[in-house]
Parts: sequence; C-alpha cells; structure tokens
Amino acid sequence: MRRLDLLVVLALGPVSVATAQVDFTGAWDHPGLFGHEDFNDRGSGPEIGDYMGLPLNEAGIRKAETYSGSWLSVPEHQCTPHPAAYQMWGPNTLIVTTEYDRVQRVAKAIRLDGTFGIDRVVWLDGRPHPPPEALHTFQGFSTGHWEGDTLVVETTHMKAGWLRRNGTPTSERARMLEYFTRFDDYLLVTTIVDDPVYFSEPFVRTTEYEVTARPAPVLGDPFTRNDGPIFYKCFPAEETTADKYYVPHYLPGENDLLDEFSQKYSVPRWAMSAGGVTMYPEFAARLESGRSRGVAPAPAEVPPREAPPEGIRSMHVKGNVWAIFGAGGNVTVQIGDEGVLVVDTGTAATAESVREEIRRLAGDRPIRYVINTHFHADHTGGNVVLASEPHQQAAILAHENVGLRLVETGSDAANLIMDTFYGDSKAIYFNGEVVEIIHVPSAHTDGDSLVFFRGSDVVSAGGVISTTSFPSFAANQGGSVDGLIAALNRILDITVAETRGQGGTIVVPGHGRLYDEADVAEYRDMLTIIRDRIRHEIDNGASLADVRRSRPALDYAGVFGASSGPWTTDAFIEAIYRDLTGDR
Amino acid sequence: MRRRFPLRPPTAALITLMLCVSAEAQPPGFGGPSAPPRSARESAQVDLTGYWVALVTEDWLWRMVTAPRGDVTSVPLNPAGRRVAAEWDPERDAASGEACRPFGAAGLMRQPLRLHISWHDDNTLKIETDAGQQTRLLHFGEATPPSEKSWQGFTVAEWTRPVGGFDLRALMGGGPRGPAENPPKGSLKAVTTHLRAGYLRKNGVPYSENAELTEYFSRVSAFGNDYLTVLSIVHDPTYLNSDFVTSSQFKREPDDSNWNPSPCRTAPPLAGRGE
Repeated sequence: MRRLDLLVVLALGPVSVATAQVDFTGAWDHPGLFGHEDFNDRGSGPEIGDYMGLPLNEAGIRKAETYSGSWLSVPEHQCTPHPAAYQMWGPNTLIVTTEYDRVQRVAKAIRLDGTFGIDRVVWLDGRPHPPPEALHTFQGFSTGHWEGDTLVVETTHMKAGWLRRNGTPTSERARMLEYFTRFDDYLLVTTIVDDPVYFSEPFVRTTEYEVTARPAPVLGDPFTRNDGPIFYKCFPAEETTADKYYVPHYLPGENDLLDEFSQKYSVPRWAMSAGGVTMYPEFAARLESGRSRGVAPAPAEVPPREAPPEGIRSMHVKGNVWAIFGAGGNVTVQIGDEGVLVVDTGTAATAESVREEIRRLAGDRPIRYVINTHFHADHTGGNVVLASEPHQQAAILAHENVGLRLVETGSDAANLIMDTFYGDSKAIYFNGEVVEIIHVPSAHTDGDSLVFFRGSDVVSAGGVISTTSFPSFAANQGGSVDGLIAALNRILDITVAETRGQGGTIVVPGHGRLYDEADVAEYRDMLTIIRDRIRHEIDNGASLADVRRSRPALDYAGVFGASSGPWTTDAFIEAIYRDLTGDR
Repeated sequence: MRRRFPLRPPTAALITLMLCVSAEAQPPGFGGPSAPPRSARESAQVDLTGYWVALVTEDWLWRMVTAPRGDVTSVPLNPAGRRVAAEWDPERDAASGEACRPFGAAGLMRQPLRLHISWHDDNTLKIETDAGQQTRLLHFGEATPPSEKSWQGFTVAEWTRPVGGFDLRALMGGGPRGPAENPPKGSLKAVTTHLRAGYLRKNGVPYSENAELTEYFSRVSAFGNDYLTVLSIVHDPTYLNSDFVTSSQFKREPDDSNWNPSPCRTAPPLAGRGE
C-alpha cells in the first residue's frame, strides 16, 4: 500500500495539477450594488446614441442607429433576458453555484445566474460545443477550464443580442471568452467578445463584483427579494395598440433621438458614429479639436461563414422529431410506432444517404408519409428514393401548386402519385400526434406549406426560412416579400416560447440551424425592416441603383448575405425592389 | 463496514512538502539545498512588460471627455468630497502647478493613455505613461517609503500565485518550465500609499492624501490579442463613503510607434455639456 501511495503521487508528475482552485460559489454584487463604473448600464440603461467606446463597424452603427426602444414591446421580445455578452455589465447580482459529479467527486459545471439574465451553465467536463445546426440561446453554450486560479469560459451558440441596452448589437456569429479571477474579496470578470458581423475588433470590458454577506437572492427574481421563493413570471402582453405584427424601427437617418443625445452630452454626431476609433486615447484630441475628417466606422468586412461539416448528419429536435442536415435542404423526420413521416427529401444525389440515416434512426420502420413544403429540387429530389418503400409507396402530401410546379419543371418526382390539397391546411394523425400542413400563399413560392407537429411541438418551415441566407422568393414562381413576411408571422402565431422568450416550439428551417420563436422573430424583423427601407426609398422616387447605393441590408448582410452564388445580397434587394414596384 | 484510513505517511509527507513550498524558494529537487531567494523579476508570475494602450470601453462619458464640474456619477463621495468636487477649477490647478492632479496613481489608470511597463531593476517594476508623463515604481520586497508624498506615491508590490495548484514536475527537480511551455497565471498585487491629493476623474472628483490604492494586475489573451487588466480599489476615509472600485483594460501594442508623450493637461468639458 505504501508503494501504491507513492505511485499515485508520482503518476501525476508530468502534469501540473491544476483543477478548480478557487471557489466562486455564492452571491456577488457590483460594488455599491450599482457599481462605481458603467452607471448608465446598471440604472435605467444607456441612452440611444451612446455608442462611443464600442468597436462597432458600419453595420453595427447602422443597426444601433435604427434600433427603436419599442422593440421590447413586440410580444416575442418582451421576455428576452439580458444576453450573455451583456449580462455581467448590466444590473446584476451574480449567483454562482457549482454542480458536482457525484461519482467522480469533481466539479461538473458552474452555474451563473443573475438578476435579469438567465441561468448560464459552464460545463467543466470536457464536452465539445454542439454542432453549428444546434439551437442557439441567449446564454449560449459555455465550456470552461482553469488557467491557474482563473476560470476561462468559452461561449458559442449565442442568439443575436446586444452589448448595451440601447440597441448596440451582437450577432449570432459572435464568440465570447470570459476570465473569472478572484482577488481577495473581489471577483473580476474580463469579457471579450469577437463578432465579425458588427465589430471591427474584439470588444473587451472588465466588470468587478464584491462578495456579499447578505442572503443570496432568489434566482431569477429581478428585484432580489429575500422573503421567499418567487416564480419569475414573464409572458407577453399587449402593450400597444399597434398592429399585431408591427416591427418598430427607425429608417436610416430618421432617428431624432440621436440629435437629442448629441445635444445633451455635447458629443458631436460624427463622434457618436465613429465606431472603434472612439476607444483609443487619440480620440480625445480629435474631439477637442473637432477634427472629424476621415473619421468613420470601419467597413463591415465579414469573413464567410465556416462551411458546415461534410456529409449527412442528424439531430434530435424534440418529441418524435429529428432533423437531417447535409442533404441540400433540411429533412425533418417524425418517427413512431406507426412508421416514419418525412418532411422534404433533400436532393436526388443525397437521397440514398438520407435513407440510410433514417434507417439508422428508425430501424426497419417504413416511411409512410412524405410531405413536400415546396417544389424545389433540394427539397423534393429524394422523393423517388424515399417514397419507394418495398410494398407500398409512401403517401406524398403537398399543396397542389407543388404538384403543378413539379410537372412544369419535368421533375422525376412528378411521376409519383401525390395527395395534394388546395385549401388552407390539411391534417393527419400519425404516431400519436396531429401533423398539420398549413399552406402559406405566395411566400417562397406559391406552393409553400409549414408542417406543424402538434404533440412534438415542432414546426418544419421549408422554404420560408433559410438561416444561412436572406429569405428568398421568386416572383415567377409565385413568391413575394409580403407573402414571406406573412408566412413568418404565421409561424410566430404557432410558436410558444418556453421561458424568457426562447425554447419551447422548435422550428426546423429549410436550410441552416434550428430556430425557436426568438430566432424567427429576429428573422421576421430583419425582412420587415429591409422591406420597409426599400419601400421608403421607392416612395421617394429612388431607382434600383439608388436603393442599392443606400445599402438597405447593410446591418444584416454579415449574417445572411452573400456576394456570390445563386442568392446574393444584390439579388435579394433587387427582388424586393421589383416585387414592391410591380416590375416583375 | 469499511473503515476509513487516514493518509499514509509518505503521501502525507509529500503533500505537506508541496503545500509548504513557496514560489520564491522552491528546492531544485528532493533533498537538495534551498536555492537563494529569487528576484521579483525571476519569480514573476505574469509578464506585464511592454507597451499597452487603454481601451476606453467603459465610462466613456467620464474618461474620454471631461465631465462637467460637480458630475460625480457613481463615485461614492461623502459630503466633504462633494464639496471639493463642486469647487473644481482646472485653471487654478494649472496656475498652482497642480495640473497633474488627475494623473495621480489613484486616477491615472482610468485616463486615456498608453503604458510602458519595464523592469527598473530586478526588484522594481516601472510603469510610465505617455499622457501626463508619469512614472510609477512598484517595489518588491524590502523598500523604504519616501518622506514626502507624491502624485504616484509609494507602491509595494507582490506576486500572487495560483493558490490551489502546484507544479509537481518543478517540485521534483524538473525545474520551472519556461514561459512558452507553461506561462504563469498569477497576478500582481500593488498597494500604494504616500499619495498627494489628486483626482479620481478629470473633472475634479477628489481623493485625499490619506488615500490608499490597492491594485491587481493580470493578463489575458483572446482572439489573437493580449490584454492587461487592472482592478483598482481606492480607500479614502476623507472623501469616500466606501471603497471606490473600478477595473480597466489595456491592449498590448507591438512597439512604441504610438507612444505620444504629453504633459499633464485636462481638456475642458465639451462646450454645452451639463449646462
């Protein structure tokens, strides 16, 4: 045994033993509760126009300057928590708890909760970050490791959020590193956010907390009452008399609150929009001299998105529903005792691989139904393979315009028997739940359907949503921008968030990652805002060239835009312009 | 029923040895003679040297520009401190040779400026600033405080090393690993006293000569950049109701090409602000 004792110690020799060294568990307050810096962020919030000291590029400035505070009155946004990139900066009592692995006796995760934020879990067990198609959340997905006494936390999969409560944006492409270090009775959190969409360089801030002796507040209670557990309720309410689907925003150049801020603080307008240069000492001299020449936010030079992994891959969505990615268009699969139902079938080239993946998920259960959300070949190309079960062809359901378009384009899928419908919707009961096929007219095409799995609480959105591109529609296939917006609003009529505006009903888009209500609302907002900007230009007599010069999609191009391929940002703008002017 | 055994002697001895070893006097191996105490430079837990530029991403309206007289937002001033702040007169300061009041140690790191950090000698770290052209000396080990107070006061420094980890390989004779292989992750704690009365902010928010400044310097790297963070705690029973706690961040610069020395000077508040 003595030899064993020594061996145990010697076995550790090659490595520096560095496990969790500092216990952050407990409640932490900003010094003086509201802190001695960043006061505007801890109180009523910074004012519209206070964008200085942030590395915003021109896209970030555009998004900030057109933000309306009424955004928070939109039902889908009312319960939005402070997102992870902002949480530490805002009014926040930070509550840290540790979860232990009962078998290994090591810290498995650290939970970070705060006043207006949402429970964040920092996994310490070495698990990888999820694949790119996974659902994003306001808190993101965080993993941590120790460097000395500092806990280093890496966060990805964050939803579009903000840096400050005045509309200064962060995008879903942002990544965040945080360093938690305890210095005696103080906790210093250094937050560094890298966002290629809205920043010209990483954003850095430090936030300090001091240990508090008072009782830990109730988790999730914004008013830190200590007299008993409070269930923090948030559910949307009708706060205005505006149209149900109204999206508040300012048109570029029309936000008069910017001038108000400029006058109140004597900060020149050019300085408010200067972006990253305002962080550096040299800017003080520029301000004093009034030299504005050459001061402009950095151009939005956004690197292309990382290519998704190669090959077919699947992910459990919710309930009976899985999603298959890598097949051209996304494939939604519902699996149960009665067999398999498939929504969209990907391209012809990937059909065999998709069938293999379905077999892997569902075993030998037969495919009973195929539903096509629209006629495009990346959503119907696999029909022939997937519908061809040995004894009985699967029933193929779609709006009748899908069938007509398949015939029109000479698709192989047109040779299969289809059960089409021409009304607003069709419903079947399969695998223990209602599957509702809802026609949304004149959206991506003239034959679009949403498929709503009522029991599983999943919507397959087909061509109405592509999270990797601007929404696309073709007028010559019956699509329209207003129809697309209406279709997105129809999805929002169906979805219900689980808590704090996120989770709940999950949406499988036609392309890209999983969405929830908050994501669909952001996507709807984006399309509505760009439509409104282009319409405003048209109303003022602008030509297509004029509209392009005004860059109406500037603040969204880093997330959804493309400069090459079948659906460029230019093509998107032109399509809306022609749709709105009737020049089809 | 299983019986729980205490640690056996060899294990207990090893653990005791590990816990007792200090950073400054680690043995080169088991049973060897104690090494002479290492200098502060040799035992550095973090390399702070180099050129750093302040990133004014917080409190911009009070740091990048001069706030109006009497704007003491979020500073826990007591009534005496507020009275002094209300009497701020930068022209009077300049005329009386006290233009460097906002560049005293307790307010210096919040100014928009650059730092040059280097070793003055093996046991003294030097921090120079371009704006205000100030020099701070951080003394490790024994040092005698000066008889006079100054803008930068007298600073005693110490390395703080990770408390829960230990490098077993170094302990067993492998020697400390180099920075490239295993960069230290400690920090620097500095306590400054003997300060002349100065300003926490450009607009005359005061600290007194009784103030004591505690700072923690650390470094982080992210997304291809190197950052210096400074947590500052000002204790001043004369003008503050409670300690004034802020944190500031700096980005490493590759060289001195942006170094722009300028004397102590406070720009006037932007015309119209606060009126």
